Amino acid sequence: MTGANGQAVYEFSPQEEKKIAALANRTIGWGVVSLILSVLIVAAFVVAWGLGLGSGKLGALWLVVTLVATVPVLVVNGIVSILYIGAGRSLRALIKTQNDDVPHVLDAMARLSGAFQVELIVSAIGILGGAAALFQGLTGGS
Amino acid sequence: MNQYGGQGGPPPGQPPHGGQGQYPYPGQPPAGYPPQPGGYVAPPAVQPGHGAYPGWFARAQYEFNQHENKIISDLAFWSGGLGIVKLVHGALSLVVANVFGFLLHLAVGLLMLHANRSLRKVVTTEGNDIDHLLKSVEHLATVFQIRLILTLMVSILVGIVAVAALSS
Repeated sequence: MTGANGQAVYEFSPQEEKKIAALANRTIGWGVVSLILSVLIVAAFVVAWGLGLGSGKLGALWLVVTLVATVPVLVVNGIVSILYIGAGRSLRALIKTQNDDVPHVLDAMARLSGAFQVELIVSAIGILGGAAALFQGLTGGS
Repeated sequence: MNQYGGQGGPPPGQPPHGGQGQYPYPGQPPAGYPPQPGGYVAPPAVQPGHGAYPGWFARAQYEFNQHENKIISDLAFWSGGLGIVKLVHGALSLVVANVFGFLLHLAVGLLMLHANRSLRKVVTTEGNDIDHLLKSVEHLATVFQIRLILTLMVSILVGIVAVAALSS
């Protein structure tokens, strides 16, 4: 079967759409959860600051720590969440529409690629930082 | 639905060829077919989305073109890379005696590598692209399921501990 522009089209069967729907729901769910978690992390730092941890001489230092710790988390999680939610929406569009399944699935894959790419880079940085701290701890900081 | 796939229907102009009970008189061949000695036995029904029957019974497969393969190949690359990073993360978690983190990263890493293998098969093989694609979809869906369940569990636990700490 070919589409209006002469390209081959594929329409997923109900069983196939069920598997795709599961992925769609879970990617959207994960995107929303990761956005909520990043907001909660920021809120925890703000609450800690409000409780007095940031007062006195440590105030300025605590503010810097808060900004350094939370801003990257917010930015990265925000980007990843948008990509995951976008991928899930593309997969949902695939189920709702007809004769246009392949472009939707490819759009979702491109977004998932972006999200995995960001996750990989952030995880690699985290692992390197963690490994360095672990090494320093094991060697007693000498 | 695709031309044959999904619904398992015949192409236009072909006689119907379905499962038992599709014809008004059991034991009779469909119209256009000669009577058979010993009675007619209808072929098994084609299950939508399953089975590999020869000829027009076969479920249509879509073959991704070069541009589409590039997008799939990119996803394969990044899912494989993330899978390896997760395995390394899991190994480091074990070093610091974090068994929970080890199991989580091990499961996610292995599933990511399985997804990577299925996606690579989409690109490198011919004739089964949709099946391989759906395999990777299943693996990725399991990754997100694990993440969601564990995140919710940990969040509830942290919430309980925080409330207990604030109230004491």
